[in-house]
Amino acid sequence: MKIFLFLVVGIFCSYSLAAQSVIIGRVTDDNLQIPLQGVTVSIPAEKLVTQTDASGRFTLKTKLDSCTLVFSTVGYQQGRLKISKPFDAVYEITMRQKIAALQEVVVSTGYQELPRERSTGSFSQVSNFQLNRKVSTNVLSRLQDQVPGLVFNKVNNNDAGPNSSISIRGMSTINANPEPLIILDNFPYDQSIANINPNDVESITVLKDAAAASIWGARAGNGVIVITTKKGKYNNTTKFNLSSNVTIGARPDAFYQPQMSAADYIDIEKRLFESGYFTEAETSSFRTPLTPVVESLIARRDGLLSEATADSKINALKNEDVRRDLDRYFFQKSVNQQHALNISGGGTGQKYFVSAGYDRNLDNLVGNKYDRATFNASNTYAFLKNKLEFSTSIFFTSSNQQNNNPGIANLGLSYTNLYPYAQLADAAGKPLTIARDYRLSFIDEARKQGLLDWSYQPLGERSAANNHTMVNDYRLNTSLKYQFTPGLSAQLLYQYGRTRNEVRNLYGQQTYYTRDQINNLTATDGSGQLTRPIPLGGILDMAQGNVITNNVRAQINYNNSWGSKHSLTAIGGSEISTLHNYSDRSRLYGYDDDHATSQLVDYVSVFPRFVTSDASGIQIPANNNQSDLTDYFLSYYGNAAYTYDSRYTLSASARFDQSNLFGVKTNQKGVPLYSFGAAWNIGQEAFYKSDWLPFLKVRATYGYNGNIDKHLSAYTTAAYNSGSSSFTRQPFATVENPPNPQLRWERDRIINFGLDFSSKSSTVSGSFEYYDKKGFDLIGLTAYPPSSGISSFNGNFANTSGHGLEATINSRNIDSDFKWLTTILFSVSKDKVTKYNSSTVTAGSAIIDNGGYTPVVGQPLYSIYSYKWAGLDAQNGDPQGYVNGQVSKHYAAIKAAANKDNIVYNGSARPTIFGALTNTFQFGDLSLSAIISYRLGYYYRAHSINYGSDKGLTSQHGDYGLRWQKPGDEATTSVPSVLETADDGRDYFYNWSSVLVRKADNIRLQDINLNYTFTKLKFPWLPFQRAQLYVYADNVCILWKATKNSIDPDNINGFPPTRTVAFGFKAGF
Amino acid sequence: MKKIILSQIILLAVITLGSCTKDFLEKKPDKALLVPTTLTDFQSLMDNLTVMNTAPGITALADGSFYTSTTGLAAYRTASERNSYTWSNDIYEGNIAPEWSAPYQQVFYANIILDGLIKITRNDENKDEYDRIRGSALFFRAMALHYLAGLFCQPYTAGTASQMLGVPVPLTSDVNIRPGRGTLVTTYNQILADLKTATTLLPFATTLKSRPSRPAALALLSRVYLTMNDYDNALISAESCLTLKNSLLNYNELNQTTASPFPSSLPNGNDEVLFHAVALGYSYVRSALTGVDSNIFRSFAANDIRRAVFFNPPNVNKMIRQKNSYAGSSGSFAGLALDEVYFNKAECLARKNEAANAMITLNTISANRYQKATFTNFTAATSADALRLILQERGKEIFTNAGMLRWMDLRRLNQDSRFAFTLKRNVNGQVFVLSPNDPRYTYPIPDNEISGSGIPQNPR
Repeated sequence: MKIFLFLVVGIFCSYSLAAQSVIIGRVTDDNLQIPLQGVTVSIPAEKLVTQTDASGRFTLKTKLDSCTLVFSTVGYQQGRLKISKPFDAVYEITMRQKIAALQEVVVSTGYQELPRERSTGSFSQVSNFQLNRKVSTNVLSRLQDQVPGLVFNKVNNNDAGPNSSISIRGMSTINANPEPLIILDNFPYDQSIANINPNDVESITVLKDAAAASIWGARAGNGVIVITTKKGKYNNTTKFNLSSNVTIGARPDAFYQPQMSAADYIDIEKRLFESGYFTEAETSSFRTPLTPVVESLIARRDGLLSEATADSKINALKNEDVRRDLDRYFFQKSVNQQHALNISGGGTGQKYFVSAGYDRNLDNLVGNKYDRATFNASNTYAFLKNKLEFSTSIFFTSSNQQNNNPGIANLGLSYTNLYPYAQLADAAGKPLTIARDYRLSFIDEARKQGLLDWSYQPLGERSAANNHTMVNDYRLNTSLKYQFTPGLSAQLLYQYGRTRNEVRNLYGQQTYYTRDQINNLTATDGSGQLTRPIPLGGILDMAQGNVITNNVRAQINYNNSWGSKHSLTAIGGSEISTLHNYSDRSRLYGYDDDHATSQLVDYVSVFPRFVTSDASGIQIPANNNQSDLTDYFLSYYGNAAYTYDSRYTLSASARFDQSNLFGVKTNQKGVPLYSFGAAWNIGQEAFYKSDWLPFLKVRATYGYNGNIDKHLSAYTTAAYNSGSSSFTRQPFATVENPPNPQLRWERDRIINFGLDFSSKSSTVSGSFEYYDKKGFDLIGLTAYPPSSGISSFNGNFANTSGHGLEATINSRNIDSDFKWLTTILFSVSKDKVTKYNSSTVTAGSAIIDNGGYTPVVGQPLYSIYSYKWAGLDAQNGDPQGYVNGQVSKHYAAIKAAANKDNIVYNGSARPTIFGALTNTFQFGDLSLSAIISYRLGYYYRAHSINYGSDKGLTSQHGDYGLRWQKPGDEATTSVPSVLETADDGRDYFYNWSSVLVRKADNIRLQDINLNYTFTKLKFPWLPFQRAQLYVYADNVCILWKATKNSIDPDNINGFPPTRTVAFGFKAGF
Repeated sequence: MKKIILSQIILLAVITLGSCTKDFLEKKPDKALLVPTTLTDFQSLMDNLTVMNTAPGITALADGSFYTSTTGLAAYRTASERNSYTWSNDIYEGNIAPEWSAPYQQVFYANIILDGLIKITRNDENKDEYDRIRGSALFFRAMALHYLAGLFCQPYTAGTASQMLGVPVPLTSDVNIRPGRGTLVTTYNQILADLKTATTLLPFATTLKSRPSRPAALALLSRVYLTMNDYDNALISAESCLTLKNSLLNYNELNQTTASPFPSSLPNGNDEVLFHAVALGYSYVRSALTGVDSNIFRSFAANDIRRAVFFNPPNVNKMIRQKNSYAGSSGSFAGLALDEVYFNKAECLARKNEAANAMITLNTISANRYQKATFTNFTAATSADALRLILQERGKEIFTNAGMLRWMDLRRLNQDSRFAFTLKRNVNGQVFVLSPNDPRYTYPIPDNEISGSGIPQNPR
């Protein structure tokens, strides 16, 4: 249609050339000062229209002596300029961007694009500008601090339930899939989000309430994230965009987690040695490995080392700290590179977008890296006077992840953590041997008998490893759309997706793993003749996973306005999606990587182990496994929105999903879900006259979303096992689920109220939303008495209710040459369990120690509970609790007496208040912005020492140094004294007591972005239209936290994310 | 017009979709999944060795057969091992107890099968397999219940059993039914009923020792009757079993120096084994500081081959550790074997004053246990002597079984003052005593059961 207009204008202009004067101008962005292309410039009085070219220039020829020029383009405020003769040589016009101008946003649901103005639901859109502010390999991480109500679940603790990476408006499920549904353009994307190049993403819309998300029905229960990729535009000159950046990340802080000092560790070892604790290991026929200190103590006892030598050897070790070696040899600075190029454009009947991206990440664990190449091409053709539109697109991603770093968690002796004074390398950096599965003396004996070197060097493992995961993912899309009338169209979409994950871990013969496997079953006949049931050579583990998806959608769109006041938008359609996931795993022994050959082994016979003739023999591990999974969905959907006079909008949607649930009758396989909504654009009312708040809209919605756990069944289900690991080599079955005839879909009812506003000139704009959410029939795990035959049961146990408030406020605090813009995001999310059906009485102890999986009526689904703490016993440093209100040290009784009324409810395990504050400062072409994020109102359970039977050697927690040692210490510490004998109950009570629960509230300076934009306007010699140089720092620092210790409350396990700094540039041609 | 065409296309599409809906939605989401409904499925469930062929063995640390040093005791991995050794009141220290949950898991599997069999018609074609599977399920249920009764109920005494607490006896696979503890009589009646039916259904032999057979059911029946002090029926069952199968391993033919002297019971190796099961995993088995009680070890005569095939030479800690059992590499044998049946028979005969026959039975097995060259038949002047001798030999033979056999013997024999035995421990100077008929001969029920189903706890 537009093309037609241009043609008319063109013709009109050409023939009336004679009596005209020429108006020439140039349009630039008032802030970025870049030329604006494609701005519509019109003289309404003459019905003249033109567009600016790539340099922002336009030319109009008018017969009038004075006229008004009107400038308009998407994303900018309309501009007017009154001019009269004599006309200037060149008019310089600047246009101002509409910052977060809500009413102009077009949101995508994956089924349709609709103007935000006419929507009733809760949508949050993250624009390309916001997405590009951050630098990351993964596109989803760029949503952080941009969407109210969306929280990244960083608290990686057991109390926080299923560890979904993202929650939208709190958790909507207990045990079913907790992840939000991700839509890539039109269809669900079930593969790793890492396959998507962030540079290909135009915008992301988050669908939060029922009206927004219920179009996705049974998969929308956790919210929906719609990723819209970049596309070409009709009638647009060819554009190139190039971007490149390098992100440097700090080394992880090896000293982050408090660890017992080497001196303390050695002291414990000495005490245990004197009490004979290590005699068991020392004399074991399994040649249990021992630490260097224990070996020295043994040698001293046996007179092999003099007392002085042994003591000096041991004392020297007291100054060692393995974390120094880890820092030096296992950690490095991460270096992530990201390069992307795209070309887009279009003519009258065709548009295209082609992009390529390359990422190369060097992990901060030495030996781990990641490469990703992406390719994306889409093409759309218009035929039959633009009535028929045919599109094709292909996305291809290929990545290769190398995982050669063994990680630091599993470097120690086979049965315990690495001792704190371990030395991984000598002064020259040469890898050193540490004991792993056997004592070093045994390894020497074995070597003398001709076995392979059995020594273990963690550092050597790092370089010998050869572990790769390769992913090839492609999706092919075709769509056909026919426009019957301007308002009515039908479309047919098809997507074929295929992902192949390939894991190839080659344990060469030089790896400890393979040497150990071979030696383990090696037998000697006494004359030096060796037999090796596992042949020399490498061990190759391969796993392949294939996912094939097919999505077909037929949809009718109706969009019409009649009269001057009525408009109706409606869609209806049906969709079939299939997902077939098949995988297999296999192993080759005696693998020779040079010639790609392997050797057969005897998987059936039982071979004695070399270590001891009185140990049980074993079979050669087979490591073969197959699986074949299929998900089918069949859905019918429709929605409609009617708007009257741009003031009142009513919307409704319905969807019916069916799926191949196992062991469920066909009529129970489906669930109908629906929503209703209404919006009132008060700003458009005649009676509403407000100069300071011209835009005001209220909206309300009601409806249902769903979720399902496809692993469950109404019948008893069992899973077959091939029996390759069984002594009888007979296939066998294991009961997976006890029967559950009452199995139902999980449903979430959401009521949402929203208020959108914008002051004059959008100085202050934003929205407030309040939601009320009720979860029905949530599927959860509940403890069962073992006499039932099971220890826990998965069923539709719980109802929950939640509510929350979300606010987004954008303000232009200073708006002149120097600009200061602020965005405030504020979310409150509260939920509680309202009903919990369980045929069992839940013990208080199960609520406390069951990892937050035991819902308690009246409390949040994921909460932290603990035993009430009564301090340390002043006499001996024993932890004390309560039994029937009396201080007690009878730990079994404390546990037994615990019930939901007498245990301590500490609070939610997930943030209940969270958000971000973004400040942007602009001065000319220089821009600085920073995000301060906050997460409040939640708790975590701190780690501490667990003495066990070895006085805390296994635990190694640094709290050992703070333990109670003498009367009076109880005033300054809550860490119990160390006991001579093990007391599991005492350890248990302390570790689950309220003294270890901490407030997790924190405020952090999340990131800073500093950029400078060059434009051709200012620097005419530039080879491109504009370019930007930027520096971006992420994970900057914690500004405040409720706890005084050094632990980041959002990272209580492992290491916190390291601080990164990115340098990059973007250029457009 | 166009609208009509369009609506027809859509209508067609919807109809096409609709018609294939049923097949489409019947597709199995995971090929490895099944709803167990066929006889093959049921057999596969019972072939799950880690579920079905395990037995509680914690009592090996409580029955006095093993000794460990103070440090050895401290090094045991689980609280229940440490506490069983000293007969503490609190065994689990709040931990879960596989001794309770594993047998109930077996009952659950058996009930799934018994419930499922109702829906299958038994006909001429499938009757052998049908009967075998039903018999197997009943056998497994009885086996599990008899362990539970032996560990968590007071010893059976004919007069008072109807006043004693039993264990919950679930008879369906519905996990929401809580049967309560009932009386000891109801528990034993169920065990007996299951086993009696099983003996009529099971085949004389099976291809795998992990699957129950008729002789195995009779052997278990004999053990259960013995536990109930019902010697007449114990004798009948033992004799019926031995009529079907009476093969003994001749220890004279074993390699006495190897660490694994016995042919492994799986898949079908050891001729003396009737039914393969292994004790649940315990750390004491691997402990270098744990060995057989020296008094018991000294009771083995020099010409007793069992001394060499049951035990390793003393290790550096002077601990005499066990060699691999009848289960070979797969664990510590805790199933049913014919040696036990011979001893059941001998004991019952002696108790019925058939001393001569009792001695014949004892000597039959002993000839396979002592060195051929030096073995002379045991003799006994009276039935009482015979009984004493038989129980003595049984106490040595019992090392073939790492399950609860010795514990169950202690519980029943303690009721007879002639054989009552006081167990003593000395740990770090502290003396622990377990007198005959002490309430601590009954294990406490784990806390998660008490809190979950509210059944009464055992006094300690």
